[in-house]
Amino acid sequence: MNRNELDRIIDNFDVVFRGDAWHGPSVMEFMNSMSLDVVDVKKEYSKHTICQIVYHLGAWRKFVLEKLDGNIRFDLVTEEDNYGTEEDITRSNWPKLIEQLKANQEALLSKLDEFDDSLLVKLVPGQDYDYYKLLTGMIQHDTYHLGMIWVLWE
Amino acid sequence: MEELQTKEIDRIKTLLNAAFHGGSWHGPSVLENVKDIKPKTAGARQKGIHTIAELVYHMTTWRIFVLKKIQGEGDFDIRTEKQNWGNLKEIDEFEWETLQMELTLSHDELMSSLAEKDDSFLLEIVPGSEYDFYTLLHGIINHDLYHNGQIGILKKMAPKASKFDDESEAPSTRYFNDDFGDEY
Repeated sequence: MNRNELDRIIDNFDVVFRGDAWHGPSVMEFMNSMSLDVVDVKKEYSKHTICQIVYHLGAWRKFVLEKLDGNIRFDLVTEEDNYGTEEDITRSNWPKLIEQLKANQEALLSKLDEFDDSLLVKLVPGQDYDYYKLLTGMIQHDTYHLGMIWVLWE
Repeated sequence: MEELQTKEIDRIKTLLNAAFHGGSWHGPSVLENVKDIKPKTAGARQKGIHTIAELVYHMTTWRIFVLKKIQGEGDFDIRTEKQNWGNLKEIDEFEWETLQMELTLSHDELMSSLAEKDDSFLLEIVPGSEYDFYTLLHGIINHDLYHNGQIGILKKMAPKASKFDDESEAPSTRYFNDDFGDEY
């Protein structure tokens, strides 16, 4: 069982989430220092609030989990699938949003422990790309949205 | 067991190119985000935030950092604000073109510097640091996309100068004055 490359991807995924990433701020570094005053503020130039983006980051972790469980049909299609319902994205729901995001991150990390490098060339069920693209893409998806969060926060 | 068809470094190069040019899983690439930005938007300053022009300069700077490290320059570092973010004044058409050209050039040079590398290179320690080239190459992709996310929002924040942006300023008051002048 060869796990070199998958291990490095998991490590990259983990540091971008927890901290000590080469590029700069991590997901949790942002979340931990975020003032509640800004999380649900709707700006005219952004389609989404910080709460919605946090929901979105959690939702895509769930997507990967479902795919790793072989769920072909699972997808995030609607705006609500992607960015949550009205109740999900309120300021008062912030602690739950963070809890959910962290829980999904942990669940995904433990799930990935079951696999080795051969996972990377497997096609994601119901999609036309492989797990290498999905897992590296998730990391980049995090940093891309972190950049947006930073501007929304300022 | 299925075997990976390409070398790991080739897959990282694909990711580097996708994040820069297009075809990334996450969404828009750097160039996809930057290409329709006008000079005025690129230079527009929002309170407490670097301008898009400065962010583009910064992305180029760090690509050059990676390039220098690949070339073995252990001492190379980015120390000052000016090195990091440039010393940009007015962003006109020429300046904005130059910034974008330098960014693309730095990307092309980075890609050619990786042309001869194989997988063992990824585990080499970056000169003057404590991490390996795997970390640095993924780091630059993440760095690009972090700032690309900022650019994605900043370009929507810029004042709506609309169709008059850049080609020419909005019609001058003199134009209207002249018009009125005819009546008097």
